[in-house]
Amino acid sequence: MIALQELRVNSRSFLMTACISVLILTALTAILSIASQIPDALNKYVNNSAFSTMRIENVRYEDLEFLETVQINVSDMQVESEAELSVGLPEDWLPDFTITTETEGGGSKYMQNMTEDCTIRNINQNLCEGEEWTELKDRQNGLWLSAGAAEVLGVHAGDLVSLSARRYNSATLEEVIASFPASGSEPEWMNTISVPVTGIYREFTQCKSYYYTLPLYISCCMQEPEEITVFAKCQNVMHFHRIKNLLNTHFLSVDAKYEIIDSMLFLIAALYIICICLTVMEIMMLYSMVQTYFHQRVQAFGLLRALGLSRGGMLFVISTLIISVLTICFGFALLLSPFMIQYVVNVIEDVFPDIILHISNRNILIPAIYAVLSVAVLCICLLNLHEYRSAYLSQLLRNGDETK
Amino acid sequence: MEDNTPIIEGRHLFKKYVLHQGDYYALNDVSISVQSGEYVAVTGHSGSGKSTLMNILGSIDAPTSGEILFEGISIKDYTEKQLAQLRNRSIGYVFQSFYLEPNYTVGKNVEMPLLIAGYDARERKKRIQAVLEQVGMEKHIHQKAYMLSGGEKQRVSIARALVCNPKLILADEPCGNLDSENTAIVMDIFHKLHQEQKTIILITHSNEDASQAERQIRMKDGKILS
Ligand SMILES: Nc1ncnc2c1ncn2[C@@H]1O[C@H](COP(=O)(O)OP(=O)(O)OP(=O)(O)O)[C@@H](O)[C@H]1O
Ligand SMILES: [Mg+2]
Repeated sequence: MIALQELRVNSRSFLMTACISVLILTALTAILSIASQIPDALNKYVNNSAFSTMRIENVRYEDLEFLETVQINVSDMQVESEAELSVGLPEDWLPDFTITTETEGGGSKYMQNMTEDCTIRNINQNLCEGEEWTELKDRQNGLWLSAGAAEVLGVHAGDLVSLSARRYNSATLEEVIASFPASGSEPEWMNTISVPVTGIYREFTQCKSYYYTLPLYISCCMQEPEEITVFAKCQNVMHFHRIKNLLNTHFLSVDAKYEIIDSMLFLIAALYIICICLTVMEIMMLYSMVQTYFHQRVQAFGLLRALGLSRGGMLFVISTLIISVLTICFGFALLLSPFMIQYVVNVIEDVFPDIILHISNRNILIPAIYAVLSVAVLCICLLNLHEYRSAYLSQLLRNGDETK
Repeated sequence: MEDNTPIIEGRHLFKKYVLHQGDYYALNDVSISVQSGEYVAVTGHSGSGKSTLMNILGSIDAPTSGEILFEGISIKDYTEKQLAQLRNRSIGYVFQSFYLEPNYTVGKNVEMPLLIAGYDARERKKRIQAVLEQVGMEKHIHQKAYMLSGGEKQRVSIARALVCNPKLILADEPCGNLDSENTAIVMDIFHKLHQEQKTIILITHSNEDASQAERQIRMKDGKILS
């Protein structure tokens, strides 16, 4: 109540500082909102474009396990010299019933973070029997057949089929032609393993007859683990440098372009530094406001104390007053900041046309700033308050006389 | 409370000011005791320490040494909060220069001690009305304080001193800034308050005003003469 009256009576003396505060707070909330949006926007941009893909070469099969622990999204893997692969029935295996990779089959990499992969999504969405791809954990072997292929082979999910591949570089074209008609028995140059069918899917556009996981491909066609080239992106570009360093210590060649990331990281740091400066400025503004207010109202406060307001009560009155001024300023700042954000976003989009930012000032840091400022106000009031000890009240009243 | 316990008592009060020329004792071994319902006038030359005494008795200043007892209890042991409560509920101050908030209305000025005491809105309104009627200022309740004349201001400040119904009223030269007509009005109010069994300590220059009181205390150079 007293605080409200004080606010009404002294509103004019607060007006000037309040206006400046509104400006500072507007800038503060705007910059904070933008700075906090950039990482997400940058992530989206980096993950949706070919930009700043890391190319990790000479990855061995065992290393895949390590790669899964790194916070990256694998976007592609290239296995050196992919061998011809075919799927057939375990018994009376005939070429007629063989589906080969070159024309009909396809391999896909199974890694934990592969849910983004469109093929795997398609398989999972069209699954009519068996298990989804994503349910496979720990880089297991997995084989999915299209409904058509399953019909040709006469198998269901769970049935064993043969997976055969040419031994790497061991067969010539003549050998293939020579031994294929001799059906029934497995040719020497073939490597065959038996695997259960993991699932069966309805055909979708551009689908192949079967898909297998990368571990399955490797166990089928390679005796020696081969080197794989992995293309990946950081899950969070903020960690780009850390991850790059981590990868560099493990792999010989990590190629990454990060100019935009670097400039963005710099921008974010700059924005946060501006925020800190603005917060300090705002605290100084509040400090001077409280100081002048206390100075102007020495006598009034002395009187309030003489009339029996305790020091705690006074702290309450004054902090309520200043915090309500602060709150009003904050309210205005929140109303005004979208315009400022709009402006800054336009500037950023001119420089980095591919970064898309929202015009929203919802951000957890804004209440945090408010809390910090409120606490600062409380501290400033507390610092001022120790002058208002009981023993000096007559002095305060007299001081007021002199300044009049 | 026993009847013969003084409402306020000062024992061997000293107040020392450290000045360039050396220490100066505004109060030099002052002992004073006022019974409940008494009307005491304190007189003396300018600079004799009257205001200092009042501020110390009213606990808005601290003595260098000595003891103040309010209703027999030493206020030395009081906490900040208890002291604030004492000033709020038990003592009413009337200052020579009023100390009204110029931008507040008369009503708001008088309401201040009630707000501090935490009375509810209805009670506040009732008391403000009653106390303004007592000093004859009820018509000015919505007027800003800076627009009032000196006499009116002093009446408002008396109303403010009375609004929490204190046991003790301390008035420091309430008529010092007033003409004779307004002085008469203010003195009349004090006279009525005395009849209502209020304890009043009135500080004044004027012997005429002092003569209205039951008891006179004369001060000189920080000491009590009689
Ligand atoms: N804060 C202070 N510092 C130094 N000296 C002071 C202070 N306050 C009061 N004094 C001195 O103490 C003495 C007593 O002052 P006090 O105000 O009590 O006098 P008074 O009797 O009320 O006089 P008046 O009738 O003019 O109001 C004065 O000489 C004054 O100069
Ligand atoms: Mg005086």
